[in-house]
Amino acid sequence: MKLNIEESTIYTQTEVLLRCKKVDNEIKPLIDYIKAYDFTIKCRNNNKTYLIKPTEIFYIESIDDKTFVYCKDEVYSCDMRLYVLESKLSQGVFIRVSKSCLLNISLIKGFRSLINGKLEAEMTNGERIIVSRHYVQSLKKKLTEMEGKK
Amino acid sequence: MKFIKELINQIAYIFTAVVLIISFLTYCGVVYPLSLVDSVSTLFIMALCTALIVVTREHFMSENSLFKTFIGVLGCAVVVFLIGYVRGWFKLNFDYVIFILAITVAVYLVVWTICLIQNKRDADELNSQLNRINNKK
Repeated sequence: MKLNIEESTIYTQTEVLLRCKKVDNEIKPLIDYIKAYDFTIKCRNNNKTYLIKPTEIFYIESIDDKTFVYCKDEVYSCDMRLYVLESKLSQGVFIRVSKSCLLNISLIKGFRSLINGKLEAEMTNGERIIVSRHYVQSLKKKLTEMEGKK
Repeated sequence: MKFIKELINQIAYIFTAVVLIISFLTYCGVVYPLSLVDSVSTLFIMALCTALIVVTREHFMSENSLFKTFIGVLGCAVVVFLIGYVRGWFKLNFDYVIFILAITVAVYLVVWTICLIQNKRDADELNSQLNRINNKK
């Protein structure tokens, strides 16, 4: 694949132009990734509204039908349901790791097995998230996909 | 699909553990010897029911692991007593109840250890995948 990057002060907006013979199964994930990269989530904190980029989010959790977005130091509430966010973010670096949590794979430091049969993911900010056994296979598959992309 | 896969895994673990323990106890003359078909079918029904309890519990119960363990052992014991009694494998007197409870806990511990080892292996595999991705960056 040929990659051209044009850097100039005349551009006011970043534009990605993809030229291909056909949008096939190899190109489609790339398009999904670019769409997910450009996607922002409308969140609230202290009566202020913020547009958060997925790359800034460590994990998203649903508690009592409310969705919370966890960034490095801040926690925001969000009106979107977890399954809606999952459908929009799962093409990128997010994956569901339990019934109530979506995790940003690119910000995981490591995994640890727990005595109760669950896995624990340690994030780069030190937070620990429980990974349910039912989602381990999809997590492995996602990491294999990411290995292939890099 | 995940539920079915988890159920099949659990049946395999429980069936293997229980067959090994019961074979040893039958050899020692502690439990009544049954015919091969009767033994295998009884043990398979026990493994299926206990696996159903364990996997269903994982899906529907809260995160409290001590309570979950208690429910798991209790559910397995009830299943073992019911099926064992109905199939005429043992009498329901005090000595046997204690003995069967000890076997149930032993099988539970064996399966729990297998799951723990598998969990450790999964964590190692995920960590090496993560390292490979980070090294490529």
